[in-house]
Amino acid sequence: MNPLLSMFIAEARDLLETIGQGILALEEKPGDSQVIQGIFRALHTLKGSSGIFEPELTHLKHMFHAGEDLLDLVRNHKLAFSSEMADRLLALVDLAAHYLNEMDAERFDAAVSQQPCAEVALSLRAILNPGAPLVEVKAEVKSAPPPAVPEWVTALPAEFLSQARSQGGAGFLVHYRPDADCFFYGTDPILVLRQLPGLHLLHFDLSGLSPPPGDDCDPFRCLLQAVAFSLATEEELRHHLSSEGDQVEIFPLPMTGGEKKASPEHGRRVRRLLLDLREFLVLATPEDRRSRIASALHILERPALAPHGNPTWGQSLKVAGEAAERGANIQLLIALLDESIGLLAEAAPPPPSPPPSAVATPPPATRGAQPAPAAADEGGAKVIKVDQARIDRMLDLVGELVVAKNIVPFLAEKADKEHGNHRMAQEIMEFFGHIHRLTSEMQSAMMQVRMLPVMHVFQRFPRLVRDISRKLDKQVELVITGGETEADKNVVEGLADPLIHLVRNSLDHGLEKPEDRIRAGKSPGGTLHLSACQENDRVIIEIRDDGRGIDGAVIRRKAFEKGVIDEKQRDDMDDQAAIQLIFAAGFSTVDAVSDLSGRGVGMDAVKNAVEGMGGRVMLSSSVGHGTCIRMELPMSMAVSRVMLIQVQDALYGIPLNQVVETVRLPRSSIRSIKHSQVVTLREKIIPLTPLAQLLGLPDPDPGSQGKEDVAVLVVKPGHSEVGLLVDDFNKGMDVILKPLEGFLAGVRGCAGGALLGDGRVLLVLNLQELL
Amino acid sequence: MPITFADSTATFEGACAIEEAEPLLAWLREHPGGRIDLAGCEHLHAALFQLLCCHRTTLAAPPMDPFLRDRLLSSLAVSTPSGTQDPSQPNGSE
Repeated sequence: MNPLLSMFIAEARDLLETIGQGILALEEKPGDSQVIQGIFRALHTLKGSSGIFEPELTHLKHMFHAGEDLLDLVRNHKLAFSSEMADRLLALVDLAAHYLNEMDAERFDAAVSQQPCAEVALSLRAILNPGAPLVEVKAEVKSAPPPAVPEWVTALPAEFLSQARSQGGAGFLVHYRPDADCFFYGTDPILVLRQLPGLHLLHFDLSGLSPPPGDDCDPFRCLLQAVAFSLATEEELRHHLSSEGDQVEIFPLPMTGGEKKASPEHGRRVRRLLLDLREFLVLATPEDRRSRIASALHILERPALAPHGNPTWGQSLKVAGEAAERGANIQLLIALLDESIGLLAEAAPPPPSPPPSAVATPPPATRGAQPAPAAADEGGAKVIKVDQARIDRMLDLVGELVVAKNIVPFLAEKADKEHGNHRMAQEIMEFFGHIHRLTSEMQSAMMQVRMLPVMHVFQRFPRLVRDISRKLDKQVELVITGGETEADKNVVEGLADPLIHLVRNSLDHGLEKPEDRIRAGKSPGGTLHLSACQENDRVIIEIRDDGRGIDGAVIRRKAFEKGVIDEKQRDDMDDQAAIQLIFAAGFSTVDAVSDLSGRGVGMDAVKNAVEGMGGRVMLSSSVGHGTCIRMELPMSMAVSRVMLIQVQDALYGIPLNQVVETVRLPRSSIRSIKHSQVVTLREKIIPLTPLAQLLGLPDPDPGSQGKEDVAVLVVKPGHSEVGLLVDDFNKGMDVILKPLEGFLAGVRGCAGGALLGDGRVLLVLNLQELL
Repeated sequence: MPITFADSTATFEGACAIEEAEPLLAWLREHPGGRIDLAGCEHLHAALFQLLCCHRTTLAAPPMDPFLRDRLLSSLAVSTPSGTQDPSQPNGSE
């Protein structure tokens, strides 16, 4: 794909995100001018950058333009922000996001985009002109210029506008920006202007012309810009300028406003000049002081130098000038210069600050969330976008480095034992200490790079909750806390789908309609709490609602009917265990939607997704009070903590999060019930399985029989604990888990492989599959 | 030849086209503040116009052509006895 286009797509997605969040924030807090400004800027940028890809994106551009015009009125307090406006702007965001996806997949068809874009643009324009019937608006979209006054009009000198207005108001302003290479095409902009029909006034903008150019001046580059005021009709003008294409903008003369605003360029130039003058004055010697003051005053009297925002400039200048000339005291004048230099510095356009990330968060959430704006204020966040593959490559290399590093202790041992050089061995180990520290730091730094705040996923929920709750006629307040909690990018991104599912379920089935809530003695509006926090090296995500909860008895009955559990299980199961059944595969509740909340649909998918990332899902619910789903996820998927165990002289890894405890028991404590061995641990019966048997290894009897004790590793891969008989326990360690590939990809019971320090391959077991 | 350069005076005649841009630039560099005579000039190509906007000259004779006189002259960096100068060009006087 065209690299420019892919850049546009990435940027546009961010901007759409900003707009979406902004709109939701405005619904919370209408009239937040900073947010309005943010949305306006985003739309403005989108309009501009989609213009680069004309004609393909013309329709999108028109749509953004309509949005921009609307926001312009809102930002100037000419129009109040309404929920209708929000809906239509969100429709714009959705449509644009859809087309961005199409573009990304190289399926975008400009012709197809015309109708939907025009419809959205129309709906936005309809808010602009509430009186006008849609048909008329449609015509207007095509021919009439937007009502927003373009910047080049506001930048015109006031006298130009007042002279133009003295003509009675009928007339058009023509902004002509000839292409820099236009001379080569035989265009003479002066001739074009000379022949402009109805030309009444002409203003050249020479800011593109550098001050007396050096030797590198290229006389064949056109650097002129001009604004003409013409009394001809728009049609005549367009006809005359048809060959100039987009180098020309035509706008009807606005009768109000358009006071000259200092352009940033102008401001910078004035500031530079004032700084020069200040130096010129400061460096004055007693002999030339008087003449220097006179020349400075002469320059300062130009009206163009009067700073905006200081209406008394002329007066102050006069006073300071007289004082300076009289007493040859230049301090007052310098102070005045300083003041206006300061004003100009303030007026300089602030760097575009990224949208405040907390805007989408409803107010209660901010106490938990630590929003980014503080950092953003320090001259804009310095962010580089890097292809993830590059980061993963670096992470791989760091992983290899960690493994390579672990060989050093072996070397030290070799130096000591084989070569008898104890001192050398010590030095190597000392050096190993350094490398170890550096590689660990490097590894954690690389992990940091991949970390994303979970807000990244959370931020889409205000929109989702708003849309769904409206559709369902429910009142839901979404409270987000802990959005700043960080986790590995893959974890955060992998969270999106399960979370959407869970939130939908809560809204759809957990939270009741206002009338039902009132009947149950609750407030009409429900609360959906989405929270994240960190516990050790795990990220905990909770979705809690105060809805009707899940009834364990109903679940038991349904699960039995579906054949998920047998009769005995049904009778033995307590409620908390029963509600976990909704995670069971095949527990579809399509026909139980009314009382069972339909939560079974796809819940096993949620569970699989979370467990696939090495996490766990837990559910607790109390009837009438609500449901809480808790997901525990590893902070980083790149490094897994495993416990090493030994079975028949080979080492295996068991994910540490599944390990409950390690115990050594006398062989006599093992009892047999029917065909299985069990052991009683703290009044709990735990079934035992020899790991060697699970792995299909030959019977180890002769060796292990002799031992008095057995080593039992109690694990909890699912809901129940199981004891694994192993030969010995080893240490826990961090490994970089690689999935098995190639021929080994299909091996059951294996989560992946990792390299040990001495170069051996460690198999990490997948207990869910084995048991 | 639409522009004739005679030492410190450049005389513009008729419609001055882009071909004059290079010689004009060379002359402007050699004669800062040189005199320009626009009386006989009927049209000034944009390339020439912008050169005259950013190089200081002295106006020997204003153009007779109404478009040049009314629309362009005020933008040129020329000093005349009546001294019109675009105030939006603070750097122009340095």
